[in-house]
Amino acid sequence: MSRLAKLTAALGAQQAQAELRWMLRELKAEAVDDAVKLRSQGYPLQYILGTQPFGGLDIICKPGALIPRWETEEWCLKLSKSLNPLENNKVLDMCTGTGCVLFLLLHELHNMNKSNRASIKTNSIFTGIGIDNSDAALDVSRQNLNQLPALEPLRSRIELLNHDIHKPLPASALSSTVVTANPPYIYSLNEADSSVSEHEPRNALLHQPRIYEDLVHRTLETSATKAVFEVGYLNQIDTCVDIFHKHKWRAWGEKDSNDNWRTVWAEK
Amino acid sequence: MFRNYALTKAMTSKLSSLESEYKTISNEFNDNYSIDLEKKLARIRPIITKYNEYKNTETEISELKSLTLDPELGNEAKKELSDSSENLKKLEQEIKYLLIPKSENYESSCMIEIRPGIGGSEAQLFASDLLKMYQNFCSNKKWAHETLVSSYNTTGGLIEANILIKEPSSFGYFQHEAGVHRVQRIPATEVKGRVHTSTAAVVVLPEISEEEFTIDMRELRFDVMRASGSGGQHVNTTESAVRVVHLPTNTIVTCQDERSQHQNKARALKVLQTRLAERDRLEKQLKTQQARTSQVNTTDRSDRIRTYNYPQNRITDHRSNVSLHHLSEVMEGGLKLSEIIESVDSALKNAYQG
Ligand SMILES: C[S@@+](CC[C@H](N)C(=O)[O-])C[C@H]1O[C@@H](n2cnc3c(N)ncnc32)[C@H](O)[C@@H]1O
Repeated sequence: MSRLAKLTAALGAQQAQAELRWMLRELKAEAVDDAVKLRSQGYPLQYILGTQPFGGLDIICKPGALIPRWETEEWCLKLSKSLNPLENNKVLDMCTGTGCVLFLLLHELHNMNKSNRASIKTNSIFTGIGIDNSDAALDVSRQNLNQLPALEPLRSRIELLNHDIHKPLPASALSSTVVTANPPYIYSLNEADSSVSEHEPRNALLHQPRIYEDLVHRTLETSATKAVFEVGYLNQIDTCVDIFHKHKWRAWGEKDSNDNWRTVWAEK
Repeated sequence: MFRNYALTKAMTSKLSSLESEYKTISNEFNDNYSIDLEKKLARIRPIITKYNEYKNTETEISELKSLTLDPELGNEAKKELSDSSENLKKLEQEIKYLLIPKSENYESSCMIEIRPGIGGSEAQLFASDLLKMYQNFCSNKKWAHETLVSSYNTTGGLIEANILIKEPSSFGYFQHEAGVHRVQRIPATEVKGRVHTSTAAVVVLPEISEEEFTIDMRELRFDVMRASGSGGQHVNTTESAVRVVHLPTNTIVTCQDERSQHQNKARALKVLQTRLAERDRLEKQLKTQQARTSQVNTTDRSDRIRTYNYPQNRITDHRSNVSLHHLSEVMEGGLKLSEIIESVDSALKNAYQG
């Protein structure tokens, strides 16, 4: 069978052509045969090519960390537009994985800041801290931090830590002004595509008891006035909104552009 | 031998008025930056530079003339005089050409659009060959370029491609590439060895900045491939195709070439913006009863501007009647292509000057 036929059998004609084109563009010629074989067995394209574009960044992807999703990119860009690049923002990203959310937010802030003439006078500082309890995931986020050329000007202002979000935050995270998280939210791996459940890390996917409750409590420990968490189900929004309301925050759920409930937003 | 190549009175008075206009705009520009002023300056600057050179050469000539009777320097002066006169003649020609009204947006960077015309899959193949030719040509020229949109049909044939060329005046350079390009060759699938003729259409549009032309986002509809189901962490989709529809004009741009929807959307928007700006410009032009520029939007076989003949290894431009026998080099994007492009430019120039 030809490469295209193999891919077509697995992905359909249109997608097979697109993916073969990307493989030919991004991989060494001698690596394409193996890539086609892996891909037609359901192995994720992003682990094969090694990256996933996320906003203006090409995030490095390795099996130790979840592959960034378009839904995440969508809310992340929306959130970045709602931040004031002239203020001293400090972003705390819990469950950071590849670090995509943290890096894109800071990258966008940096760009907005650069293109804003007033910033010459204010010279605002923004910093970031990403936490995750998986060393494998942290390896990937550190690679991204050290290797992405676009992050060069931001490198010294970003900290990546191994920490469990069920426990109180490390001291350096307490002064954060914005909190984000895309925690594992799937209740049963049977609900996920097999390409996902077989190849992406379990601890990046599988919901843990009290995870949303603890994310809200972590947020309340900081000086943040704004938070966005990604969710997979409407009841996860309700859990967060209830606690935020008790603490006199404004909080609400939002859908993604595919009409699925996707995020909970909160403001103090 | 000492014929004076002076410019006509009308030309010199035009030139002095340009000089004072240039001064006024420069002063205004220093106080108040604007893209518009910058463009005006860029348009006049080459004329002013040449005119200064021209005036200097004129002074030089009159100085040399007074020396021709000098017993010691006379011969030397005569020699130099003939060089300077040659130079003056050349400058005069250049200024005359510069004074010809340029197409609007001559100094802009540009977008080249390529679509297959007549000839089925052979035309699609030829369209991708042209795409590669322009991409490599720009790389060889060290001109920054990016391919904004290329879309393919289900059998992998190119439907449309757009290259953005980020080089000042690349619109001026490439504008005459617009039209129908014709290829004559034996397709790989042709068993009887017959030569087929097929075509591809090229359109060249000036790049428009967002400040010059903005799209009202409320007039757009974005169609994206969306899997049904819960999305998010549950699936890892690689489908990234985006279709943008401009509702008032029903202009549609599809982009599926990039790996994320975000990138495809940005590229589709850029193409849409360039097209709508051109549409807008043409409408305004029609309203003011000016002649419509004849960019070829059809893929009619009879409008062909150039033929790429493989059996004869020959490329012929039908406006300049220049033929080159370096077909494969040209198709690889070699700099030989510039000989053809520039031959068209001078052919059209001469036609204008009569
Ligand atoms: C769904 S992934 C999100 C990755 C990335 N932020 C993104 O949006 O693509 C969830 C991440 O949370 C981490 N994680 C899971 N449980 C955690 C916990 N209790 N404390 C900290 N991190 C945890 C996993 O290691 C994984 O990297």
